[in-house]
Amino acid sequence: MSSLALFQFAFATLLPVVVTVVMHLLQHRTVFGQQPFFVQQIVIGLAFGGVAIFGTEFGIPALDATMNVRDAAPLAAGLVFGWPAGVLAGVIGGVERWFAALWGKGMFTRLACSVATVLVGFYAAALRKLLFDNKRPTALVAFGVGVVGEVLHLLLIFLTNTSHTERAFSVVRVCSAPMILCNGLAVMLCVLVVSLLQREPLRSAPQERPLAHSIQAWMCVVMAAGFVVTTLFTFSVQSRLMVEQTTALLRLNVEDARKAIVGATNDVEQQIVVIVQDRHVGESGGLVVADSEGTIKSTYDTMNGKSLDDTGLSDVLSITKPNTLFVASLAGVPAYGMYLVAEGYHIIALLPVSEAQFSRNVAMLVTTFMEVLVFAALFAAVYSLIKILVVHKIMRVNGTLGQIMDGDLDAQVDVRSNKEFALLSQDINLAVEALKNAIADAEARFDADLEYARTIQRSALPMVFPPYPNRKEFQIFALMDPANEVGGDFYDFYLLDEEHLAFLVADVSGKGIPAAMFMMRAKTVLKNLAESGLPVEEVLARGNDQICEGNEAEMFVTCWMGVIDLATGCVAFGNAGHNPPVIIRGDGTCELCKVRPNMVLGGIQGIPYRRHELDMQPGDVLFLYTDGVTEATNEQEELFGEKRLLEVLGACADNDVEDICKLVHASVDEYVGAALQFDDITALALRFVGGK
Amino acid sequence: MEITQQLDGSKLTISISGRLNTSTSPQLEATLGESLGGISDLVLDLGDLDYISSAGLRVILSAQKAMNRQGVMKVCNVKPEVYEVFVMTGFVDFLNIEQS
Repeated sequence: MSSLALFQFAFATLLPVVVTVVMHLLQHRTVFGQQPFFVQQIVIGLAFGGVAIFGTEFGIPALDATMNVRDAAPLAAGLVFGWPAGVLAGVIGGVERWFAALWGKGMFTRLACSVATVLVGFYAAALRKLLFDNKRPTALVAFGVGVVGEVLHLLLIFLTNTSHTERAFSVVRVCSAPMILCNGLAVMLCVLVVSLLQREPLRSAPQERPLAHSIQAWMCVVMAAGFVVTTLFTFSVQSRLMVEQTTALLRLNVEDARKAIVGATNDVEQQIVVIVQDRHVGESGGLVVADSEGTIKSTYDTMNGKSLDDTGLSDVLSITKPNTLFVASLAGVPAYGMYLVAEGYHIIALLPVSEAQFSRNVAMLVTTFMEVLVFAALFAAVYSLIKILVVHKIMRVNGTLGQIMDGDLDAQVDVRSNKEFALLSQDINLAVEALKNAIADAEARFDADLEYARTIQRSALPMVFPPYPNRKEFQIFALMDPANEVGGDFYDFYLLDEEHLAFLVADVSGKGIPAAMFMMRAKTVLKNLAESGLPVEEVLARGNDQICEGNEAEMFVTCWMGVIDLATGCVAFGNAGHNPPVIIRGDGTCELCKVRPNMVLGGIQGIPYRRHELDMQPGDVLFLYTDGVTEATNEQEELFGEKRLLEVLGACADNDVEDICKLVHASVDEYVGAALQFDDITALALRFVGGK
Repeated sequence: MEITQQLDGSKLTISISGRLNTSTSPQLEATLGESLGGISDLVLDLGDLDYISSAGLRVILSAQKAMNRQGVMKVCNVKPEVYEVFVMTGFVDFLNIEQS
């Protein structure tokens, strides 16, 4: 091949790659990628159709055909971009090839080339759609696809020219190597370049590599090895057969000629001419007879009168025994030969090597091509079987595992197509079942514990109302509704002496069991301190110190605590980071009792707490609550708020303390609606009746 | 909630945005646990913090206690609604707060 032709071929090989890059960039970097699927496919199909046309028009004329890289275009379009693009590019390339014969592009291979190009378009489309899950194959497989497509093309040249086998053979022999290699390479490069553009690693880590790709790679290796071995074997068998047949043919001819010469009665030389001219060895071989001086007496060729020395045959004969096969070059044409000596004459039979080898070579070529197809079909079959039998099943198992991981413990793995999968399914189901039982057991135990905790917590709060039926100078009611089984809120009240009632509402940071335990501790600490007769600010200060001690969990509690003098209605109180209570006056006016709060309890040790005072008139109600009331949230994520609380309280100022608490709770419930109660709700109402 | 950190020698600025509640405060707690080593000046920038719950207060209190042992801590750019919570819980007395 000349260097110009080489350059032309390289260019034709790289053109599909360039178009692939352009189309990929268009798809991923411009608005083209947002067009509907079929619009994109048609544009890509047209572009690659153009590439196929270029391949035809700028091919290299060889014998009766045009060597070209046409088929790579539909293959690349179909494999890299999508099935419609592949089909369209194939049809365009094929139809154009048909008409290209009109302006002198190889009439002999017209039918084969046109049909092949259309076929490879469908072939790439089918592979992508059916075998590769609508994804690009790996580069190695793409090369294989290119090779197989081209082999199909070349086999079609045989099929469409069965009456001109020899001519078809010579065309295919010249074209096959460069066309198979270049088309395969072009398709492979197209796939590779897209991988590079998408910044995929050329060799992904094992955990990133799909099973299908590993199978593809290994099957390629195994099939290539199988292909090489069987091809070499066939070649050696065919070659031995060819040598045996040639030897037999030549021996028969020299033997016949010898018999004729030995049996000649009159003019031997005349007899020789007749014998030689009557005999043909194969199609284009024949006999040469030379006398003892080496002068050729008769030949099938134009060597009459020459000496054996002139033809170069004498050298060969001198080193070859009679009756054995030799190879000689006659005027540059290699030929098989054999000789005998009879009556002083050398009888030589010759057969051109090309003729002797023709049937072997045709057989080899066809066998090789068929083998490529068989191996490709085998590849496709094994690959799809593995995908259907293994990969898809694994994906199904995985899918169910995903469901289980998302919390659906009732999902069952049900892949029973093989013993292994049936066992796997069964084991997974058993494991999940065991897990489910364990969870249920743990839940039941936890629920029982929680129920105990709830009972203990509830019994720790004063629950009997009215608590002091014979004390007429005050009324008190409180409720606590935990968001979960146990809560972090609490209330408490107790008579310190005949004239002083302590009462408080508190809120522990956090929720659940830890908050409940912390709450029990805080409640006890405060009660012990209060009952020892300390003023309220001291109860809070010392309570804070005690709660801080050993507070590893760094929890804290907000608390509003008051002590009312039942004779005067004067309330001494401290606020440790708690919401301000509401004072409802006898005339129905409500206001927040705001003071500057001190730090929460359990936060920082050794700090003082302020004492505040508040006078209650007979009929006034003091309403204490936790942020579960004011920060209750409805479905629109809006807070209940202090303003709404004041409105509700204003409307029920004359009610019984129990009704006040329950009305507030009901208002909050109504406000929250379908939204989830997020925090504990606690309310305490104290009415000072006075009159002692 | 989103947490960003900026380290300048032994001075660390942690910016917290969004809502600091029961579900997000463990993240802040973890961040503080990893980052406070060798810090003598901690700034909590609450400029984009919209809400703080008692769980959030607990983490900030822990940070204050840790910084009491190794340096100073400042809470800055506090929005009014968050400042209100600091007032109500008495935290204003023990945090070095700058309002926004």
